[in-house]
Amino acid sequence: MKKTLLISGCLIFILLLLNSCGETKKESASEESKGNISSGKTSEETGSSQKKDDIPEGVTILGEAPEAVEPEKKDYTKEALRCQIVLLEDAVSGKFRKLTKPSALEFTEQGKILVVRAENGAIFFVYNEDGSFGSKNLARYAANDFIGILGKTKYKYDLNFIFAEYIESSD
Amino acid sequence: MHRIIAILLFVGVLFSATMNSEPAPKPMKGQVASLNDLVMGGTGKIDKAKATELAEKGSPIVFITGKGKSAKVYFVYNADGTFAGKNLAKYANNITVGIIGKVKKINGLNILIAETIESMD
Repeated sequence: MKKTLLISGCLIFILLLLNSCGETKKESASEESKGNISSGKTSEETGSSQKKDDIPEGVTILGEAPEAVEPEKKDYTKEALRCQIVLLEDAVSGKFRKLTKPSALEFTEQGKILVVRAENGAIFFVYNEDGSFGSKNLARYAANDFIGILGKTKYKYDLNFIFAEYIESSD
Repeated sequence: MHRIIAILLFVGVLFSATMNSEPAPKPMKGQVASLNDLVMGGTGKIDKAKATELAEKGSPIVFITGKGKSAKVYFVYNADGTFAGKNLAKYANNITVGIIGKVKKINGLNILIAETIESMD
């Protein structure tokens, strides 16, 4: 009677011990990663670990983050930005659909966002001169393979913006 | 006697399994914002009515985390791949919004595929 109770007690103790060992490993692993990040702050070479620190809690990272594509430092008020009109969701999926004027207008009616993709792959959000979003204006040029946009650019929140003064076909 | 042992073992295994289970994911906290306002130098803050109106018109409604230079703009998508601007607009009146989902960065765009969006007020 006592023996069996003692054996079962021992079994439970072993289970708890194994469990606590697992947690200790998890804690030490997270402490190690924290250590890497803190040491990374003093080194320029480990800049990527700093970026990983920016990743918020509770999210899963699906892909390695490519660097933001900054616009070439050109004055697009004088030389037009040559680009293609694409759907934002296509820029996200990487599968670009061929747009036509009616389909683009329909997409904007559905509340979908049109952006432009420069030849270097940079995505630009197009705004009209009055500060309104230029998606619908862009839709009118969707039949063109390439368009040219003249306007001032802005780089903010790692995003490229162009305030279109003039849009023309650039096929 | 055997019953006691069985119960004790069952309790032990159950306790162990509970301790090893993954903790519930914490939501990413931020605010619903208008990209138009952000690009014009504003805070991006808008009310629900305006956010819904903008989303209907196809103006981007985004999710912003952090403040100042550390602020990050996320384009929120539903799990089916559709843009979640309209869904996000419903939470524009909330001071803090929490999103559980998956993040990826493409062409410099922060994409957040939302599983759940909830008010954190």
